[in-house]
Amino acid sequence: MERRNFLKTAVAGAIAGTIQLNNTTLFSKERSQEADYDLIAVLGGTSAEMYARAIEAMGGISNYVKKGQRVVVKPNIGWDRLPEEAANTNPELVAAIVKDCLIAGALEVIIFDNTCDEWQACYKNSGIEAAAKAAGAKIAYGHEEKYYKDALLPQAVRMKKAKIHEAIINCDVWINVPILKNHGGAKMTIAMKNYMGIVWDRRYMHANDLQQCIADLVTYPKRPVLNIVDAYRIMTQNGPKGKSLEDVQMGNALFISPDIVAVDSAAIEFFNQFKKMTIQDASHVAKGEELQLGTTKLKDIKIKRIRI
Amino acid sequence: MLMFLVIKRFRVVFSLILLSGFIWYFGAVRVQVEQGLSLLLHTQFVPALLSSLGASLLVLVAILLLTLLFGRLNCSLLCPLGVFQDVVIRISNLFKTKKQRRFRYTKGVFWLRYSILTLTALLWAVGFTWPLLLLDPYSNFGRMASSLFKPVFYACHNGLHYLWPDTYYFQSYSVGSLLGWILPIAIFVTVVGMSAFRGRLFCNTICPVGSFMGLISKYAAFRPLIDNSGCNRCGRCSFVCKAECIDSKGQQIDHSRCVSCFNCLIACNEKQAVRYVFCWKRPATHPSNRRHFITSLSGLAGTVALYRFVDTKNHQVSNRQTIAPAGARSHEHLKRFCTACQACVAVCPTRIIQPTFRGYGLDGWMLPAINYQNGFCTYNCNRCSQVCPSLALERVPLEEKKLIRIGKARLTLKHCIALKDQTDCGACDEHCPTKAVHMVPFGTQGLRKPVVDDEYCIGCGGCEYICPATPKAIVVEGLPIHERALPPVVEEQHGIEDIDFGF
Repeated sequence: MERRNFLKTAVAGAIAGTIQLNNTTLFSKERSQEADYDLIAVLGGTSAEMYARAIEAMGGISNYVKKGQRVVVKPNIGWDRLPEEAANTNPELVAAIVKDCLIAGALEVIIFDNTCDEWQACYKNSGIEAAAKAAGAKIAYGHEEKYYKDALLPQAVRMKKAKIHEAIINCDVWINVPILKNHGGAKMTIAMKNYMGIVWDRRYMHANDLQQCIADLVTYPKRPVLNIVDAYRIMTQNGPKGKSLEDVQMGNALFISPDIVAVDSAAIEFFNQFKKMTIQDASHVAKGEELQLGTTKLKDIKIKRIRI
Repeated sequence: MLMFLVIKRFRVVFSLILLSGFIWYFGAVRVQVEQGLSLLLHTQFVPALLSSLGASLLVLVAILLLTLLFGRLNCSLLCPLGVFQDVVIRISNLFKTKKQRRFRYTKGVFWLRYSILTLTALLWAVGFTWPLLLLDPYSNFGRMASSLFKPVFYACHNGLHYLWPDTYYFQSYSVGSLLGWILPIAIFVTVVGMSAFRGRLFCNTICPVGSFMGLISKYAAFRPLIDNSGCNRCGRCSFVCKAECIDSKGQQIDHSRCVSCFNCLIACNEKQAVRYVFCWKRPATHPSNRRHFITSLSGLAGTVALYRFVDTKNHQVSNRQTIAPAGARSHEHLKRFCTACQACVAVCPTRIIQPTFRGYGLDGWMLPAINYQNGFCTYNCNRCSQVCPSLALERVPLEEKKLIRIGKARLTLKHCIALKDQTDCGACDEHCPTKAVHMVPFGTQGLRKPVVDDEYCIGCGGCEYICPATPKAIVVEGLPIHERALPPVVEEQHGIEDIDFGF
C-alpha cells in the first residue's frame, strides 16, 4: 500500500472512530430532546396504567430500549414475601415493563436479584418469577458467587471495586425497578439502594459506611437507562422486610426518570407525606449528588405530574 | 413355581423403587421437598418405634404384622440399608467366579446378635439413645446417603448446569465438618465389605432391628420350608441364600435369619422342595428357639417398662450454645428421640441444619444442630419438622413455628459497626422477621443502633448471619429448652387523606 493511501485510510478510520465514540453522546442528546421531561410522576391507578402513562410521557420505551438489545429489568425481589406485603416490587409492574421491552424489539429481557431471604422462596412468593416469565422474560440466578464478576468503580470514594452480576455486565441496557420502602439501615430504599441486589458482597457495604458504598456502587459506569420507582404499595415502617400488612400503605404512585438521584429525591418527598423523612437523612442520595450521579434539586429539572 | 418367581420379581422391583426414593430424598439438590417422598421415611421400624410413644402406633403395628405374616419382608423390601446390600451383592457378583458367588450355610453368631439387641434396647430404655442411633439401619442409610451420595448428586446437578445454564442453577457444595463423615464412612465400609463377602451378615449379626424381627419371623405365618421327601440335598438353595441360613444338608432353615428374599424358592427349580408355605402354629424348625424368644421378649417388655419409669427430664445440658431446630422442644427431647437420620438436614432450604459433633455432648454425635454461618432459618418454613419420622422434631404448623424460640439474639454493642465506625448499617434489623431487633437513634448525626427485644426474638439467626462486623456484634445462643415468643406487635398506622406528589 502506498503511504498516501495508508494515511488516507488511517484518517478515515480515525474520523469514523471518533464519530462512533461520539455516537452515544450524540444519541443521548437526541434522546433528551425527544423526552420533554426529566422526571414523570404519576398518581392514582394501577401499576400497569401508571407505567403506561409515564413511559408515554417519556417518549415511549423505544427511546431507551433498541431493537435487538439484551435488556435486564432489575426489580427488588429481596424477601420471601407476598406482593401485598410490599417488600418486593409489584409483579404487575415488572410484567408491564417486560412486555413493553419485548414489543420494542428487545432480544431478551432478564430478571434477577441477589435476594436476602432464600432465593427460590423469594422468586416464587414475590410473584415476580411467574409474572415475568408469563410476560416473556428470562429468569437469571443470583444466589451463588459464581454469577458475579469483578468490576471496577473508578469514580467511587470508598468501594473501588465490587462483584457485579454477570447479567448486568453482559446486557446492553438495564432498567432499575425498585419499590419504595423505609429501611432500618439506609433509612430509605429506593432506586440507589436497589443496586445492592446486583452485587455479591453486601456485608462489605454494611461494614464500610453503607451510605457511601451505595453511592459508590451507583458510579458503576453502566447506568440504568431508566429508574422506575414502584410506589403503588409502600412500606412505611419496619422496612425493608416488614412484619405485617399493617406496615403497608397504598401510595398509588409511580416515578420514572433516567436520573437516579432525582427519582430517589422525588420518592422521598412523596414518602414524607406518610412518614417523616428527608433527603439529608437518607444520606446516600446526597452522596450520589456529590458524585455527580444526578440532582436532588427537583426545582431545577423538568417534572411532569400526571393524575389518573 | 411361577408364583414364586412373580413374588420375587415384585420384591426386587418394589424394593428398588423404594431405595431410589430414599436415595433421591437424601441426595437430591432441591429446595422444595416432594411431600409424597417424605412419606417414605414413615415406613421404617425404629422411627416408628420412637414416634409410637408420642403418636400413632399404626406403622409399628403394620410392620410387626407384616413380619408375623411373611417373615422379615421388612428387611428385603422396606429397609433401605438392606436393599442397598442386595445391590452391593449384585455388583460384587460381577467380579466373582460362579463358585465364589455361592453362599455357605453358617450357624450365625447368636450370642452377639442378642447381646447387641438387648444392650441397645436397655440403654435406650434408661435414656441413652445413642447406641440405637449408631445401629439403626435406616438412620445409617440416611447418614450414608446424605454424606456420601449427596456430593454425587451435586456433581451431576452442576454438570447439568454447565450444559444448560439457564435451566439448572449452580449450587456450591460445602463439605462441612469432617467429623460428620466418620460415621457414614465407617458404616459404608463395614456394610459394603460384609455384604460383598458374606451377604446379609450385617443384618444378622449387628443390626438390632434384624435381630428383633428375627424373634418374630421364627413364628411367621408364611415361611420357606424344605420338603424332606422332595429334597435331594443338592444345596442350590443354600448357595443363593444371602442370609446364609439354609442348612441344606440338615434340611433346616433358620427363620430368625431369613430375610424373605425368596431366592431359595427360585433356585430349587427341579423338585420344588423349598416352598413358601402357610405354617401357622407349626413350631420353629431351628434349634435355639422358644427360650430365646421368651427371654428377649421379656427383655424388651422390661425395656419399655423401664423407659416409662426413668426420668430423663432433669438431665444436665452439656452445651448451652447449640441450637436445635424448631420442633425439637429441648436438647433432651432431641437426644431421646433423634436417630440422626439426616431427614431434616436433607430438606433444609438454607442448609443451616448440620450434624453436630459435640454440640449436645458426646452422646449427641451426629444429631442435627443449626449453624448460622452460611444462612439463617427461613421465617416461612417449617419443613424440617414436617419430615421427621421419629417425631424428634414434632410436627409444628407454620404459624406455631414462627413463635418457637430456639435461641436468643445476644448483642455486643462495642463490636457494632454503627458505634465502632459511626456509620449506618442496620443489616440485623433488615433481616429480623419479628422486629425483635430494631434500630433506635443515638448520637447527633442521625445514626441508629440496634436493640433487641428478647420477648419477640425467635432465634432465627438472620441478624447473626448478616452481621458484617468482625467479631460478630450479634449472635444467637441456643436454648436447651425451647420457649415461646410473643407474637410480633402489629403497629397500626393511620392512612393519610389526599395523597399528593409531595414535591
